[in-house]
Order: sequence, then structure tokens, then C-alpha cells
Amino acid sequence: MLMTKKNKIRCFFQIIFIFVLASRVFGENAVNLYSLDERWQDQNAKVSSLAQYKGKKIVFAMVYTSCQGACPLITKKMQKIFKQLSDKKPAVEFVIVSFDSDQDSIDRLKSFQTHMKLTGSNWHLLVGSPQSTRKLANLLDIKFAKRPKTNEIIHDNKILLFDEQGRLVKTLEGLGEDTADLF
Amino acid sequence: MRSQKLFVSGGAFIPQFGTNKNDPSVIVSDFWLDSHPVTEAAFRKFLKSHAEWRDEKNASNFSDEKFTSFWLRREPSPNRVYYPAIFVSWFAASAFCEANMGRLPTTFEWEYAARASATKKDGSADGELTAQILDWYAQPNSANALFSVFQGKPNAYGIYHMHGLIWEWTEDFNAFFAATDSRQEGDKNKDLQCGAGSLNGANRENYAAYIRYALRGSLRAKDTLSNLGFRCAYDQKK
Repeated sequence: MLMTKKNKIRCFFQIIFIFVLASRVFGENAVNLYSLDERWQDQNAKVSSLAQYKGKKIVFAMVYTSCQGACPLITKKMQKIFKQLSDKKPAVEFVIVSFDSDQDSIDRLKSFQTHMKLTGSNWHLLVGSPQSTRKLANLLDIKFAKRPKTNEIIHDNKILLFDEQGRLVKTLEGLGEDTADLF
Repeated sequence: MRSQKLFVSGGAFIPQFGTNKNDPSVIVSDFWLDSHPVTEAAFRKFLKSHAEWRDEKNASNFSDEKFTSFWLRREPSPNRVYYPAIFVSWFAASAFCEANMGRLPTTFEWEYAARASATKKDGSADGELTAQILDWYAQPNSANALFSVFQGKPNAYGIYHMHGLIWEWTEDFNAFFAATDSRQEGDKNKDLQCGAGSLNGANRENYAAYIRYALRGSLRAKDTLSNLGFRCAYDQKK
């Protein structure tokens, strides 16, 4: 390949691209759940930041209550993890944050909790402002989009596991991944 | 010269992605938009009054090494004062707009305002506009490609440099779902995404829009680029 100026520039950018990719894999800090200071309201109307969960392991997901597709399956998967851990009795909190800041009221969160049989005081269903929701989703690399007119929300299916300091330790992507031996 | 908040009158349009195939139009409400991209000078002013953004630990949570290097470690160059602010992450851009009583424009708002040619608010029929945009995309990125935001000519809204200077963040830059593998028509990856939609763009001739959506969709909120900046939107003038 002739090292014309154009080819040198192309070569240069290909090398840069590879460095960018490499730095993404090797150079990043672990994401921390507590780096944002947003306020959330839970299904019992309690307002607080996520920092209240420091010191516990967290199993985390984002869903919305009127979701017809994967959200019930994500929630069931979280329940499976809950059952698997409950005999070991570790300090684990299950946190669900709603994508639907406009429609998911406290009442709807409470109904969802009952309907999905999420019993126990370590289930937390949270809703916040649209800005807080987008910030948190972006921090955790969870994509979502509200379709105009239908209010259907398209979103990534992920369950995230955090340690006691709030560091992301594992991501379960999609609905298929196994839940055994998580912590 | 200064950046102004310009009124963009709402209306319906068909965005390249993000709506249902059966009903592809979306209505954008009235909003205000910065006439110019945010400048280096404006962003440095923000950093002066927001100590948390000068903290390298915070910067590493919400941006990347290039942000830290460019904004926190290098001496500002007097030539660049009115250049668009670059090496800013989505978090940094959002924080700036919030501090200025605004927000990032949504992708629909940005694309709606970006349809304008020099003379028409809806320049989508203007083939020359698309050709000019594609000419810009075809140039290799180089340090000399940036210039003062106050140069150049505005579009029909009075807005400068929606094309031709930098890529721009939007509030929901990553909120567009194409299928993960395009080789199998109709194979929506239901496992990875709930409700993932069609990968067909609204207008197959609008190559410029495809490129913008691809660029924005490849970003994560912490990322920065040497040719990625932003401008702010507002829900009221004051």
C-alpha cells in the first residue's frame, strides 16, 4: 500500500480506533451506583438517594409496570435470584427503577409489587424524574426509548449486580443468562 | 457576537428513526434552541463556577481521560476561545445546560431544527443541502477543521452550524434501537431488547441522517470526541 498522505491519515485513524477500543476494555474505572446524587421515591412514598443501600449487595434492574414484553421476565429472573440467595441470608437488596417516570406512580409500583409477588422488605421499587432516570440509565449503560404516541418503552434487558461499595461486579444481559453462583 | 436563544416553532415531521412504521410522523412542540454551539469560553466559565467538574475523580466517573487532559490539565489557547467546546461527555454537556436553565435538545428536536436549509425551515427537499452535508462528512478529521462558531451563515431559523462544524449531543442520543444483526430480515433480538423495532430508516436517500444516527448511537454517555460538542435547548425564553 502506497504511503500517500491519504493512506497515512487512514492508517493513523485505524491505529487510534484500535487504541480507543483497547482503552475501553482495559482503562476504565468500575461503574459505581452511588456516584449520582439523584432522588427517588419508592413504593411506600419514601424519598431518598440510592446511597441508602450502601453496605449491601444490590441486584438491580430497570423495567416499567405496563410493559408487555420482557419486563415480567426480568422481574421473575430477579425473584429466582432472590430465592437462590434467601437460604444463605446475605445482605442483598433488590432494586427496581422504573423507566416510566411519567406513568409509574407510587400506586402503580405498589400494585406491580403485589401482582408480581415481590414479598419482603428488601424489594425496592423506585421512580424519579425523567432527568434522573436518563442519568442513571446512562451511568449504567442501559438504553431506553419511549415511542411517541404509544408510550411503549423499548429498552435493554439487563440485570446488574453491585457489591457493598456500589461497584458493578456483573451484568446479566438478555433473558437467557444463568442465575446460579452470582455472588 | 453572542449565542442567542432562538424560537423554533413546533410542527410535525418524519424523523429518520424512532417512530412506528405505521405512523412515522412525530410532533415536536415549540422550543428554544441556542443559535450557536456552546463555545470553549462558555464551558471554561462553567468549570470555574462548578468545582465538582474540575475534580479529576468526578471527571473519571462522568467523562474520560481526554476531558481531563483537555479541560483540566492543558492551558487554554487564546485562538480557541470561540471554538465549539469539544471533549465533553453527555454528563458534562447536560450539567452545563442545567446550570444555564436549559437542557440538551431531544433527538427529534435537533433533527427537526437541522432540516432547515439557508432559506427554508423544511429543507428536506433541498438536494444541495444533503450534498453539502455529505461533503463535510467526507473530509478527514484534522485539528484545523474547527473554527469560531461565530463565523459562517445561519439556516432559516437563524441557527448556525447544525452541519459543518461538529457532531452534537442530544438528550436521548442512545435511544434508537436497530436490530443487532441486519443479515436476517425480521430477526429482532427479543432476548437483548424489549420491543426492539425496525431497522429501516424513514428515508433511504437521507444518507446524512443515517450517519448522524450511527455516530450518536455508537456513543456512550461518558465518551468524548475531538469533534463532538453540543448546544442547549430551553422550554421558555427566560
